[in-house]
Amino acid sequence: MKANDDAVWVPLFLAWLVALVGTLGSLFFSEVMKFPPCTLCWYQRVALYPLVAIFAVGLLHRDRNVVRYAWPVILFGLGAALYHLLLYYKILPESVAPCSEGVSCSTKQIEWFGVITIPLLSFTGFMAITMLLGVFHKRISK
Amino acid sequence: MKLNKWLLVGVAACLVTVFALAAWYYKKTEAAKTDANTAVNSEALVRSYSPTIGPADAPVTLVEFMDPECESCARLHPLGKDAVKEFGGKVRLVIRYAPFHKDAFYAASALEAARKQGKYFEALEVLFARQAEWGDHQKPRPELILGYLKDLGLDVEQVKVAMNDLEIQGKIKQDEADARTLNVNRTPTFFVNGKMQDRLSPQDLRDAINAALKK
Repeated sequence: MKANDDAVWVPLFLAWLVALVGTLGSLFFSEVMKFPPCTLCWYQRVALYPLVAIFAVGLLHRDRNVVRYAWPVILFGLGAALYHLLLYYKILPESVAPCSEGVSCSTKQIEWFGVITIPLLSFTGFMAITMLLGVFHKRISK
Repeated sequence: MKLNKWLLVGVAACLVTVFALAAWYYKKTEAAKTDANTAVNSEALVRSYSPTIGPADAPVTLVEFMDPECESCARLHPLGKDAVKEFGGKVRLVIRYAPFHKDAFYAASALEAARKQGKYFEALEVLFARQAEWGDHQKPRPELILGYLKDLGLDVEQVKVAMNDLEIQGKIKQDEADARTLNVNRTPTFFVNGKMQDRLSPQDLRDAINAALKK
């Protein structure tokens, strides 16, 4: 596949889509459903929101370096999401959590179909973005 | 399909539209649920012991759930009182407590104690006006409240005794429980004839009261 072939860029487009859906979804939870975001949620938002712009600009300019700019941000978000997930499912004790005030990071705010929770959605999103960017990186390096 | 800016703009526009529609639908269903909940728990909306302004038989009852320590409550408190004046005789304002902040219960007890000496609304004005001093979130100084009441000419010793009065504490606790029953989770929250108000501006409140008067 050549770098100017659209198929190479599809994974990046999909990663952008995941980031955008995640951004709008998290805004829906906080601004429409009025769930106050916990501290860890904020860290994940800090990582997720700029990805929408980074991926869009990279995609429009067909900038293969986009992975370089994006990966530190993704790593940070993925780390926060993983930590949040472990905390939420009580694999890590709450006492080590950086959220003694305000909303507890393990407060259950939604539980769709008994399994889907906000931290799970976030972690899945970051994982999807990581994998899509991995595929993109592989395609572009060929 | 080409991966160009139009595709990105189109996708983003679609998603934002979905977001807006979902938000609209969510708000509508939530408002309906809130109204139904208020209707079922109508006894929790107005209690006979609450401080009121305006005639008891006014066609519109405006209920204000407030927290003496909350900044927005201080800023928006004139809304209710102004409505009573503006609609002369057609609106009755009922004050309820939603003491969510740290020293709010203490402040509410002081207000109720002042009420026993006939200076409820004067005390409320002072507490709101000087909230930045006694209710500073970094450095709260609730002890200042008694000084304000003294300046109003109240007997502070009597206030202190009344603040520990079980009757007064019971009323505030009942208000707090009623606030939870009615899903009051923001302060202030206004109800116009049992309808929780989403928007709080003089004009929005005026519109809501006019709508209630027409019914």
